[in-house]
Amino acid sequence: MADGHNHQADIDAYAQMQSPIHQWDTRWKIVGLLGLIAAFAMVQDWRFMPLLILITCLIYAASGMPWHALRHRLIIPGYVVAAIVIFLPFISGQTVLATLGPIIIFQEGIALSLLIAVRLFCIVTLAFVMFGTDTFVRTILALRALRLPDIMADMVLLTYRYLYEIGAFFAQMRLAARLRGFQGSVFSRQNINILASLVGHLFIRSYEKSERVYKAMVLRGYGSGGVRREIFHSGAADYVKTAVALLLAISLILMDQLL
Amino acid sequence: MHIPDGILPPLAWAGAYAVTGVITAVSLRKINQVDDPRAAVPKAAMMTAAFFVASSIFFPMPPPMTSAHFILSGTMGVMLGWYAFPAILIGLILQAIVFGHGGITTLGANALVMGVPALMVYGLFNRLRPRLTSDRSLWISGFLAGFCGVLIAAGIFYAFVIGTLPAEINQQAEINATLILILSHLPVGVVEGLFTAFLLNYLRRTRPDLIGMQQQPVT
Repeated sequence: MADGHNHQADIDAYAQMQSPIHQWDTRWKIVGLLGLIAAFAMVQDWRFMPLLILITCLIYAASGMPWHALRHRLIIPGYVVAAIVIFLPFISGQTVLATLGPIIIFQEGIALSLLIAVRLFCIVTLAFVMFGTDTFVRTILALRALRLPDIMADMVLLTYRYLYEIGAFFAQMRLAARLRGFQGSVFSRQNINILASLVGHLFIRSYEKSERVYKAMVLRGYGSGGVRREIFHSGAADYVKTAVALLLAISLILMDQLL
Repeated sequence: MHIPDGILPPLAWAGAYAVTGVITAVSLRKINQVDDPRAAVPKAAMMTAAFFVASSIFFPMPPPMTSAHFILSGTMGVMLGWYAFPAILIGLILQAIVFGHGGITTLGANALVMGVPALMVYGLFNRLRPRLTSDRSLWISGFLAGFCGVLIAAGIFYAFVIGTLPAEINQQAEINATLILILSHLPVGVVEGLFTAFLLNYLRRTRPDLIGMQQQPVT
């Protein structure tokens, strides 16, 4: 969490650009791209992989976001998936492709590994386009407009609002503990006890702050059912983009099932 | 312990979404039964943020040069009750959107991995709470809350990942691999159990209301 502010900047870093994806109404963009993501996650036939990659790259290019940002985004999920797909060619399948001494490589395992890797690339990329081309707050407001329960939306926005503040406070507490001789890198019962006290203090401070925040929110009209301003406006272009995305999604699912 | 996108077959991720939707709806219904459900929203949000921060702590493990991070499912269950499942879902949404961890299609599965242990621990702790009158009883139940939270989460995680992967793998081998991987989390479970026991005792001494307990009379 030490670099929390960088993350906060990261997700909104490309939200103010101008592109056909940025101009797409946030609500309809979520519907269209989620439809595509769901379709990509349903594809089982590895022969469609080039098509999935092509569609994904075209959409990402249309968003105008830099490719290095995508590379950065793919690193962590890439490692997790790599740890799994690297073993599949050796343990999954029946058709022997090659034998290297005691090691057998199966054709089905390689196909499955490719399928998982490509699906990961496409879904992470589309999700990045979906969330990266609008500010985080606007995305949550759009989800609320799409019937995300009010309690959930309020919790997401407040959690996001205070995440970095609480993270910075905890980093200060740990630094103070280190300066007083706490060695967090050593395993001992006493160190776990100290860590538990630090976290316990963090919970108490957060809880007490929340009481003050709630009073401030009530003073500003929270929960009074005031008029909600409509901030989303859609037009013909939004409907066309959404229709194209959903048509692509349905076509992919049908082709995967029928061919 | 997050399942990334692309791994689960459609039936698994879609089914997990459906179950997560049902559990979230039940949780929100329980939350809405109080007089002013919105009054608790800032508290739940702030605690979600605090849990998010606390779960990013890496702690050293007994074999040198190894570390793990807290999962805190059990602690969330004890402290947040019915808010625990929506709080975990929100934490996962934030991780997926802001940090790119976890996944979009696997959001439901990841919510089950973390949220089901939280609700199970909440159910158990809620029943035991009136009997937790001594330091020893709170210590034992705190340890079990942390320990069980980790092992149940590991069980659901590996059941998803191994159970739904390639159909060509022998079923017995799948079960054995799942059990071995769950057992490999025993040391993490023990450390989180100790941590949770210390944490609950600290909260009982300082703010017992945060874990639904009465202030102890000063003697």
